[in-house]
Amino acid sequence: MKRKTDILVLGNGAAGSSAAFAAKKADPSLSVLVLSKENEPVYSAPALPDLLSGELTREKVLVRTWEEYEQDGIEVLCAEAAAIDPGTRTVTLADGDEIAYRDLILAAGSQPIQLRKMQGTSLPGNFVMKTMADIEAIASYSGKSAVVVGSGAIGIEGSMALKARGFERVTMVEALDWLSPKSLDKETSDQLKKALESFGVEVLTGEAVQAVLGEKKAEGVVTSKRTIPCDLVLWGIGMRPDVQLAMEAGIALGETGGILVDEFMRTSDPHIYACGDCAQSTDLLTGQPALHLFWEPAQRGGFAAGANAAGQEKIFQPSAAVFLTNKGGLSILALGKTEEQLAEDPYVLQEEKDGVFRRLLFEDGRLAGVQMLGTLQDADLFFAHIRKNAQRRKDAWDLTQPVPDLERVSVKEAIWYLRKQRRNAFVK
Amino acid sequence: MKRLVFDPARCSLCGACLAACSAVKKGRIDLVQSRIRIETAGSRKPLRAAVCAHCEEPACVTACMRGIIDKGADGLVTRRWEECFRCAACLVSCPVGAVLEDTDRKAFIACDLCGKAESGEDPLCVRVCLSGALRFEEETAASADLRSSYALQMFAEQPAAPTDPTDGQWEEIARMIAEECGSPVTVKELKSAQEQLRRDAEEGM
Ligand SMILES: Cc1cc2nc3c(=O)[nH]c(=O)nc-3n(C[C@H](O)[C@H](O)[C@H](O)COP(=O)(O)OP(=O)(O)OC[C@H]3O[C@@H](n4cnc5c(N)ncnc54)[C@H](O)[C@@H]3O)c2cc1C
Ligand code: SF4
Repeated sequence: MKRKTDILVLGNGAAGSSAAFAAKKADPSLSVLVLSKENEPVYSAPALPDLLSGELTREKVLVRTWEEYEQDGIEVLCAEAAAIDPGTRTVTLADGDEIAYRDLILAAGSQPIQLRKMQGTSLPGNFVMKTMADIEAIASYSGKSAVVVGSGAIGIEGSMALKARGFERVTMVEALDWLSPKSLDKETSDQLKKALESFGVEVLTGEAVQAVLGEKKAEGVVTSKRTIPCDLVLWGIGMRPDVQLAMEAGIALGETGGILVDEFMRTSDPHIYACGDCAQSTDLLTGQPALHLFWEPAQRGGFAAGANAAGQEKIFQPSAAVFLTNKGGLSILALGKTEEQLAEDPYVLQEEKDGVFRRLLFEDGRLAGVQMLGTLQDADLFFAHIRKNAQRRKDAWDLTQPVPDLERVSVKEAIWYLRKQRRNAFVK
Repeated sequence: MKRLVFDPARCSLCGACLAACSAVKKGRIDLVQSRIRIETAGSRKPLRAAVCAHCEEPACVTACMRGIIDKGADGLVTRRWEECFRCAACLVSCPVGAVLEDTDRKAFIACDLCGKAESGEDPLCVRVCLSGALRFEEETAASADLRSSYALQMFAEQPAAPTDPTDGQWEEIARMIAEECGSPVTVKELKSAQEQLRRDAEEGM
């Protein structure tokens, strides 16, 4: 039998669940059905490292309970979608059942990148960290030593969590020259490395993992420089948008590989919307198409997609890449450009004092990026300046005048200057 | 809905509002735990107040990685802080810098207007601000517009020379705080908080 629904949401993560609740709120008369290939209500993926470390319980990771879905009249079907037919407006499930929709919201999220061709990567003991089930799989696997591949947020938080969980030896391996090079400069990475080591995580950079050793299960990792024995390998080498079904259905993708959407989250098909990790967004700072696989745009994009699909116009504003981790006594924040990306007249102010590291990157005397460890203070100030500088808006709030005498000021004085400048921007 | 409005031209940096806030919320005078901050830059001159503006489209609500911040129909932004896992996304996304970590609750929090949004009565921080720098006012169309696009508040109106509380006024402030919190507060404590605030303003980050 073919089921029918007004709004069908494919995916129950941050984006899909937000879309479902927003659609129902915008028009309670609509039937809203959510498809999920997982068995939990929406949970916080960013909290999964805390579940792994043992800091949080399963309940404390959930964002909503099943009761809340029910209260709002949202139906959920824990089943996997296998195909979309935009012509007949039908989604076919893996078990063959069909669901007819009026409007479809794609929120299938992203998938961890896996190197299936590399030797040993399909042995037991290879893990990723994407879903609650992944964490449960790691938790029920016995081991005392781990190699974490990759040094992005997942690699960093995964290493810290494994250590906190009681692993005796945790080694983070990064193929590139320093940690999180897309977000951090070498100097910041050096500080981060020290911080990670102080938590007992070993850090190796400039070393590519070439194979996983073992007969029946993972027993070690071979890098370009050495062999590291270990019980468990955690892969944190990136995520890519899950666009398989959309692609097969002929829905247009953007240049970044995410589903192409307009500001109302509409795809190339008039009855299909997309939001979250699977969709392409626009970078707030560069104005360019971007893949922002972050919680904030997923949740906000979901709200927008849901409202629009239900007939209430809501624009999705561009999003920003915010590199943030604040866990287990380690805080890192990076916003805006790295040194390599600085254009005209670059200048870097940096200071390390009492466990606090700040690196302010200027271009043409204007703040273009910031990287800090051990503090989150003035995040609002930095973000305001970086944003205004990127947009170079010559409006009443123009904050883009240069900081004078960069060569002569300390980080503290530069921050004072930025504060005054923001204040002055508000006084006529 | 009324909101906190701050006029830096009237503020003498006496610190009474910060003391009152921490006394109410923490049961002690603890400036860094105050939910209202006065931003300065190397001098005693106040630049602006950082306090939750209960934004029309709050950045913290969509940033929150556990979905525990809500914008109510009454306009108030509320937090189920017991569920906070301290990801700090609200702090980083708030354009005002209004979010802080409550070190006892182990949660990120912001000003909740002490439950006065509905009645419109002045909260304690406003009552102890005898210079009239901090006020609880109905928003104007202009301020609403400002808030939704960029949540900085407060504009200097008629410049008035900021004056410190007199000794008699300090007594009055101490009495008001003690009455609200049900525990004694001395003028000496308040004055030492003021000194610390001024030192931080001149030398601190
Ligand atoms: C460990 C970890 C830490 C993170 N930390 C941060 C952080 O600190 N800050 C930050 O901003 N972001 C962080 N992220 C990223 C953030 O969690 C994601 O950007 C966000 O969850 C994306 O939400 P989404 O709903 O678009 O996608 P997903 O969360 O991927 O959800 C997709 C949903 O669709 C379902 N689905 C997919 N295909 C099908 C199908 N065919 N049929 C049925 N259901 C399907 C999936 O089961 C899932 O429920 C982290 C992610 C992880 C994994
Ligand atoms: S001022 Fe900050 S904390 Fe308050 S509602 Fe706005 S974004 Fe949220």
